[in-house]
Amino acid sequence: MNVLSKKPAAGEEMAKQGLAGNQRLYALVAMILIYILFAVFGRNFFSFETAVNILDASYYIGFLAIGVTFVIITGGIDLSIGTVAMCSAMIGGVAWEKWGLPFTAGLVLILVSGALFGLLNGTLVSRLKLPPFIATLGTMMVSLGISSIVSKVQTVNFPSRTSEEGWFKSVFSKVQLPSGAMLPTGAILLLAVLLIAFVVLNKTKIGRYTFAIGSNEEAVRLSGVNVVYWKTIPYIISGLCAGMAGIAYASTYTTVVPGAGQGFELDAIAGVVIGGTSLSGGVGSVFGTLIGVMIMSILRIGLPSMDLQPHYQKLFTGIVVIIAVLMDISQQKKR
Amino acid sequence: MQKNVNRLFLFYWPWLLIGLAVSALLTGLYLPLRHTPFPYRIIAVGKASTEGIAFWYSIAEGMAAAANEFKVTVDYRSPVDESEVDRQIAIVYEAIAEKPDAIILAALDADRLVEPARAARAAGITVVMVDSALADVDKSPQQSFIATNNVLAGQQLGELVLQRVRPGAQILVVSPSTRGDSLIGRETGVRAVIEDAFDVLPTLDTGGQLSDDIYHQVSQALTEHPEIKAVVCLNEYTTAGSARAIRGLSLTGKVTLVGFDSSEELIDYLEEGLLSAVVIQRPFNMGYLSVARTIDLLNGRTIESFYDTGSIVITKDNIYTGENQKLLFPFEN
Amino acid sequence: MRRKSHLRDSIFLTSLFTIIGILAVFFPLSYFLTTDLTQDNARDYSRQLLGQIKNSIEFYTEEMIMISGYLADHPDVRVYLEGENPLAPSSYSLYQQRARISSELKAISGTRQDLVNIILFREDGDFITNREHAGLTPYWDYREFDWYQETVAAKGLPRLSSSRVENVIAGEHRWVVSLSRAIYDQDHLLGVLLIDLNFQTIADICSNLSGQNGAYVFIMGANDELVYHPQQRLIYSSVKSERFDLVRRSEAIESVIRDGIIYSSVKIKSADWVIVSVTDTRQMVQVSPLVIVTYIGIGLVFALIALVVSLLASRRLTEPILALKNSMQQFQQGDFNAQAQITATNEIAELGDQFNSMTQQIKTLVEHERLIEEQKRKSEIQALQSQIRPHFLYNTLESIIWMASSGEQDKVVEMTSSLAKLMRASASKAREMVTVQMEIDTVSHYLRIQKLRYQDKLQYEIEIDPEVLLARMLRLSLQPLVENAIYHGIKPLRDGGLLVIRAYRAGSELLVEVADNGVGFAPDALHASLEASMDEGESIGLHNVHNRIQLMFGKEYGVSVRSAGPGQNVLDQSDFDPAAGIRTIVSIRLPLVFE
Repeated sequence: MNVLSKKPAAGEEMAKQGLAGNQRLYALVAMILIYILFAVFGRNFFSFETAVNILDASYYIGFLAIGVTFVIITGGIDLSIGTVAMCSAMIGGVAWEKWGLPFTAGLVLILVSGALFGLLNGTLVSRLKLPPFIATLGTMMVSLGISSIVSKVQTVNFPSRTSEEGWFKSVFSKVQLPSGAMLPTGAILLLAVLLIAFVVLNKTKIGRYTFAIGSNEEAVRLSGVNVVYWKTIPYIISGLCAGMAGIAYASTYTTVVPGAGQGFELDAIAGVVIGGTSLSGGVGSVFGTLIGVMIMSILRIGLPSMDLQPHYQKLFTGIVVIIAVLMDISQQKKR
Repeated sequence: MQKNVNRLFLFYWPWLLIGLAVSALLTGLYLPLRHTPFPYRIIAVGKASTEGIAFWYSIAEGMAAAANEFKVTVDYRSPVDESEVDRQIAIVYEAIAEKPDAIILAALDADRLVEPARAARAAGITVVMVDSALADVDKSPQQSFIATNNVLAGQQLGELVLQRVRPGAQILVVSPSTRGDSLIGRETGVRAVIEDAFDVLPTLDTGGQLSDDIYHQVSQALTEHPEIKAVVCLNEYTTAGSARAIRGLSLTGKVTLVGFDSSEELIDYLEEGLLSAVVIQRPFNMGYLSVARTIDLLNGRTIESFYDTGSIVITKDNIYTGENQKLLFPFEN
Repeated sequence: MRRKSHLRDSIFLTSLFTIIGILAVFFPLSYFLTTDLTQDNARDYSRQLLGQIKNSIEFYTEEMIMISGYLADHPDVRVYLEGENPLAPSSYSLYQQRARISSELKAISGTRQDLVNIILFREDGDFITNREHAGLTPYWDYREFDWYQETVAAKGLPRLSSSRVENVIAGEHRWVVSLSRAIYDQDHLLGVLLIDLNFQTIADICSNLSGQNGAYVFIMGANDELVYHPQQRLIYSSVKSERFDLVRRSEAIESVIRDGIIYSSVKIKSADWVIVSVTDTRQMVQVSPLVIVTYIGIGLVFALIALVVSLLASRRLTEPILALKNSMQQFQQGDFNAQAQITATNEIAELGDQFNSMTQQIKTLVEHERLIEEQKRKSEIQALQSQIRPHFLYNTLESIIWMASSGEQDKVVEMTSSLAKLMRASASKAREMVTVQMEIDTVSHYLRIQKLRYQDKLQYEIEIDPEVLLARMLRLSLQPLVENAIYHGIKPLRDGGLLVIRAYRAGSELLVEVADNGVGFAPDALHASLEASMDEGESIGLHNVHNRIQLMFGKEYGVSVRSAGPGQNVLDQSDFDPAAGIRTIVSIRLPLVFE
């Protein structure tokens, strides 16, 4: 078969968007059903405070998921995002707390180190042609190690709300308005990033190449595109988003424990897959990702309310991911 | 020549037979080895139910820990409360009928349980006492006794009174029964310390009843003898009953109360200051050691005739320290 | 007799000791490998177990840290902690604030059962709990508790307590593990947040995941106090002890094996707790008498099998050899019928077959030789007997006496000289084979004597083909035939008879015939004379000669008799003159041999 013939035509692309949209719809329905399920059977689940907790719990996972959506659309995977987020947060926190850097510099450092980890992943995958799974697994270990080394295995406390640097919590988490009402600035920020990601993915060259590489990398290469360059970009985006997730986590939970973050990536990737992004690449949507992340958060808060603790959480996350992947495969067959 | 060869071969066959015999012997050894350790069956007969009674709960817990560690079965039985001596005797006879390897017994009545214990020994059952022994230790059928040294514990109680009450004051000793060996020991210990320094009233024997009745009896005694400056109780529910009586008569702070054993209620009283101190035992250790020593005995080892598990003075200040927490709050959930 | 070593014993003992030797090396080796493996497996198992428990416990402690971080900097919480004492009846909004925080705490703890209490203490003594009706105990001031002061000293970092009884809630004493953190505004303490996790959650993780192979798990806190131990009370009261010195506070799992007990320890990430798993491999070694007995038992069974196998093998190998040996011994002792009965089909069987055919041949040869010897001896005796036969000698001597007394001097001379020549011929130690001429000479001496005795009653003719005069024949083979013809053929005749001796060549054969016209043989008598044994009377001679010839030259040669028998007239097939009236022809058939 002529590889060029697989280059997506405009109409085909529309159809793919439609498919992603299809699964997005399913995901939305599933989310509502799961929420109702917990509301009915879970202990003390149905309350405003719990809903806020779910939003708060999905906040940092949301950033991770948006970033990794780019990578998954290229047909790759990034397993390092969770530990990279925590490692970056740790580096920033230590820089501020122990090295005496200005806090703003610490925040920038978080984003920079996230992006650098992304660059590392991108280089390993696109230039050195390592399988993404292995390369990012390696980065995961590297970031875990760096996190423990930098922190000297001590927990790091981020500045409290009332301190001089407390503004960052108002920016990245939530702020109480003079009226007493709570403004979820973090959620607003997440939505903003989501919109930017949507625009980047659908309206820019970066997005177009991301889809194209995921759809048929060989065809893109034959069209004279610098695949090595354009394949690195999604990993850098993913790393940058992981940095943002690190900031989001720090502003929500204040304390960063060394060596944490393992398992975050699974929540995020599960959210992405549930949201209709195909693991085989070429198809995806950031809005679907948001819904998927919400589902994961509902599960995380909801399962304990049915007395299903750690092992069950893993079990259900696994089941949900498998179902999502199966749906993805069956839709591809239909195509 | 032929004959010579035949003789040699005749000579081999005994070897074959010896080989077979040794194999059979080893197989015979092997089969019982596979089933070791022998699952001894032990029946424990306590004084009261484990339901909600911390002391017996802990004893049973200690027994279960030992049973689990040494791979034996321990079956805990008891009358519902400590007034039912007849019921306990019946339980012992029922246990004998089941032919266990050993019976661990906490005698409700030091004299009346002697006969059932003898019957158990006569049936070839090992008898080990826990908490309360049988009367006349030298001739009694018990093979060992694991308990708090009650005389020493009684002396600790007496010391507490000595430290807290002005000499010469009138003292009331409250005991649920004057029959049980452990209670007799405690009373002896208390009296040995306080007899000379104080005006000790005759011991109030509440007759094994529960707190409500004790409340009335102690209230009555306190009313009748308004000079009483301290009440010494010899077990958990007499302490609780006395505490309620003191509170009921608004004598908190005026009458010093020292007691024995603990419960949630007693800890509240300790924290409140109504109860100045308690002497507590180590029931978990008692249960554990009674089973462990019984197994030693069953395995043919010689053991001591008495093991002291010790007693500890608890005041408001040391409730929440390491070991005491574990002793005072045995229910982990 | 010298003690001999037997092949069967050697094979048996060699194979037996080889097998038992192998077993003796193999079983101890595998036993030690097994115990080594057991300990390795136990250590691996304990490390895996520890990893799992660590993960589970970290899950809970990290959740608590997350929740504490979330709450400690929650805007509502801040407002509450920084505000005026809410008990002071100032503002409605603060009351609302309290209610909001309370429902927030409830939302967090309410969805899960493992969180018992979440309590927010203000520095001035006010507090908010997650439980609407819970009050603080009136008997204590929580600010005096050690944990509170330590938390304050930790400057906002989360502090995880050991297992403890929560004593701030009135009328309640629950076993918990507490996470507490102080909340500061810069350096000004605002309050403390306390999160109590049901201790049972931790205890269950430890007790559920341990318990196999006598392994158990315990947890040590920051100050080496016991957070959890399955036999905590026994350790407190020194009934039991634990090797705390073998516990390593390390981020990675470390194992120490001491006296057969494996101590694996690991520090959790989020707090200063060390989880330790203790595996007593001695309990596995306690099983090892069983293992030893199993090994010895299996070893013995194998040894027994080895014994039987080597016995059978040695027997199977040596039995044919033994049979062969026995046959050879038999043979050696002179039993030429000894035959090795070997059922096998291998080289030994071949050997046996060859042995058998060899004995067969030897037997034939020996038999042959023996018969020749025997015949020779017999004929010599026979000849001696015939020479000195008393009857013949007596009669001859009597004839001589008679002739001498009657003055027949010539006859006496003739008879005596003939007797002397005959005696010399028969007594001479000449060779077995003599020329026909020599034999005829001997016989003619005999005939001359007989002629003198029988006078006209005996006529004889000797016709020798000169061609065969020098041919060879058996010594003393003719005389018995002649004697036989005289005594059995002619003597019974009243009128005397004729005896003819002929020797001639027939092809490659020499034929010597003794014919007479005497009474002849009945076929029975003829048969008897040829087959009879040597001890039977006078026909011994004939038989003797026949056997000697056959032994010497083979079955196709020998003595044959043709006789007309009584009442019959002439022989049908004969080239004798019919007028002679020959009735019996005894012929010797020999190969024609010249020296």
